[in-house]
Amino acid sequence: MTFTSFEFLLFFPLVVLLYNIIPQKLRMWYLLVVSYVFYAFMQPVYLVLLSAVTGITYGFTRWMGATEDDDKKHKIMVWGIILVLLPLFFFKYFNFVNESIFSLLSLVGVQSTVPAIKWMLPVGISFYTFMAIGYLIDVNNEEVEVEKNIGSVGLFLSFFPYILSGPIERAGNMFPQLKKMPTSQPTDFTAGLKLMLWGYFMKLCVADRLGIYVDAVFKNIIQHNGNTLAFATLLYPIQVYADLGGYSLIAIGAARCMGIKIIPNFNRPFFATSMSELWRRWHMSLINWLTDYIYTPLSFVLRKWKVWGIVCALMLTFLISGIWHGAAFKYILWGLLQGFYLSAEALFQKRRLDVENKFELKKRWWYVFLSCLVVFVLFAFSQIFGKCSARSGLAVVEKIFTNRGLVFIDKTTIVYSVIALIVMFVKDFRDEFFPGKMRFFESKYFAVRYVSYLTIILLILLFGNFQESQFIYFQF
Amino acid sequence: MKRILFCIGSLIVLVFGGMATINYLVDPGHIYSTDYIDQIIEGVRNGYNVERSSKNMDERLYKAKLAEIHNGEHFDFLAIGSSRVMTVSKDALNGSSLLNLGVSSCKLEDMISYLQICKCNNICFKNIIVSADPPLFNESYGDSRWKSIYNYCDELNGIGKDRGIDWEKIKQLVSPSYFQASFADICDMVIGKNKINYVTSYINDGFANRTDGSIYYDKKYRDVSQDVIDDRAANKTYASYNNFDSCSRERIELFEKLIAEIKNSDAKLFFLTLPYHPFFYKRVLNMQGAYESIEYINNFSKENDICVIGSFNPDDVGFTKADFYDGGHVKKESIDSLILNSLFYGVK
Repeated sequence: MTFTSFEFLLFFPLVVLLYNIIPQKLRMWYLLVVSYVFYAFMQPVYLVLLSAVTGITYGFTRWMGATEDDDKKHKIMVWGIILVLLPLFFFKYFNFVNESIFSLLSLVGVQSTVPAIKWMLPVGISFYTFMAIGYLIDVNNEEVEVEKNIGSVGLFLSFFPYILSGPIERAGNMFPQLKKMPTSQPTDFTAGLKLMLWGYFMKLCVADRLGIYVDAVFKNIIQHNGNTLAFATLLYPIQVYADLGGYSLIAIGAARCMGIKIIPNFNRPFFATSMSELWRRWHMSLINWLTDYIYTPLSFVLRKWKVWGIVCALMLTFLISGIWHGAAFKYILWGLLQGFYLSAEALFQKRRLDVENKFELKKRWWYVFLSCLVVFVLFAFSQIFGKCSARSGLAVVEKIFTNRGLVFIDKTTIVYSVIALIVMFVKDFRDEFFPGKMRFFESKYFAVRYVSYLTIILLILLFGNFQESQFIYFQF
Repeated sequence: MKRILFCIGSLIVLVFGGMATINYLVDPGHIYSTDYIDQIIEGVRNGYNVERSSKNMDERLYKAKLAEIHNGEHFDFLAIGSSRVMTVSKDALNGSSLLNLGVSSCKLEDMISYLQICKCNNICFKNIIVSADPPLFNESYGDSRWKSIYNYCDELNGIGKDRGIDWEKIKQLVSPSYFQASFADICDMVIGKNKINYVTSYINDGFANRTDGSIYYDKKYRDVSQDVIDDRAANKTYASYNNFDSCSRERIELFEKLIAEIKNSDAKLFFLTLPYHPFFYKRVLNMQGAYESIEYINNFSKENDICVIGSFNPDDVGFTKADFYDGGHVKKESIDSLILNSLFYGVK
């Protein structure tokens, strides 16, 4: 059952209805059961794994809470993190590490003796593993209190709106809300539904429509010329934004309908005027996690190296980010490229600021526009390695620069996508530069709001791609 | 809160009610009314080819009715299989009589049903051409259109015993995909494009259903540049090849049962393994399930001494990109020459 399946459209209203009916004391357990049932629709056997990670997280945090000695607490935290990471390593990285090691050893004549594991990757494992690690670290740093109720810990890790593809939540944000479990208020309910409606539009009309074209081109790199590949390259980050951004909005909206506020995940990333700003707007829950638990401690440790310490911290952080995305060299390449971009910015930041201040460039619309465009193109270029294998990615890059020709256009798909894209872009543009103007969903007139909802629903029905489609971030 | 619930409730009623109404009235797939099919049958019964602007209809029901009007007849050839066999006409059979009961995305259940239909209607064949295509063994492809003729599919392996309500047709009422097709058809209806013509020639602007059950593509699909054809082959998604990770053991067992039944009859069996467009053939070979299925079909036919017409590899039969309409559909003229050469002129 995915968010765009018919089953979810029946499941969700029922869940919200029962949530508001049952006594407040039982709501946390109710949502825990519902979340486990939701996960069971995907992969029931991996509920055991989820429970195990929950048990380890709960047990180790309680142990840390009962320990006064800071060193001992730290050691418990480290062991807790190792145990929680083991399933992720086993399912996601074992084959990659195994093959890589034996590829190297085969150069000296040693053959592989360890067979590959052919088990399916548990859905959401990267997300709940990171949340568990974050909680362990927060308890060690005394940023959150130890949660004594195992049901709360279980629900924190398995909450159905975000378990499959995020956002990656924090214990500090979730536990206080999970204790309250308020009845749905009208404002939260309507806000939640609006977020979900917009999320479905982004997912079905933009992401899934663009996906038809982008996937067709990238699956047949040999057949397409450089211009077509360049065009698909530019469309791919928009597809990812609409896909994961749309999914996140549905997740945030679903939680909001029950009065639970989840952290946002995207903030109009294509209006960023620098790579660092893009990464403050793109997949924010992941980047904040990496910043708080990897980058900040690393840059503190490397502070004596000054700007080079920052560069090393950035490269390592994004290397980890790349590895988190997947067990393949292409993700490592992708991560290193992001790190390179940000490091280059860090090194030239002072000079750039000087020039911008001297000529008041940030007030000039053409400078802002060019900056957004350059950032977008650089980001799109790096996303080639998110889409293809490292070898294919390099082939794509070579073709873009050397192989000319007419752009392949799938008329129906492109026309539908462009219409939906324009709607999405206009909304983002308004939110970025003219917040509070031309309010449709938030209009004070009921008729305007009603017609807006109906229009978006009709656009979804007319332009949405309703063939079976998984969110890009499902297998993370 | 009452206002919110009213808003939600009214939106649901408006949206779903409107969608269901439009889907039912426009009915782009002609699944709620058999008038459309009956009109085509009437034309074919009277010896006409039928030209139509809309390709959509319940093909399975149409082919079932087509068989019924040939009650008690004898044919030289029966052709069953997917859309890849639907363009096989009597022109390819050197004047022999043909009943083509091929349907799009044919599953084994469809083949079983049509053999049953022919049996029930006392239709006899000297030869049966089975289009043995890899998607027959794709378990992931969950097309359930065969249920439209489930009545006939109950003798082999207990398939089709579920004779409940056809929920698929009910689901289509609130299907967004069907709504999109309805919306596109509304425009055609307004300009009067959605009509049926009885014609003598099978080469028309519109899509043609021929008297022998075969089809001929509409002008818009067939008269395109080679670049467009190559793009179709390289990029178009064919649903029956999606998620084709393995050759299903269960599908193989059913297939072997079906073939055994045919071999036990008086008819001679032929496998039609039409080639793929060179670009699409490369894609197919990269699908593990399709690759395994091709290997299986080739080995099975050899082991069971079944005559094979054609090859999936276009190079084996001297086909080039120019012989195709898209990735998997061979041009009628090329099919005619392939079958004529194989069956009648002894050319390999």
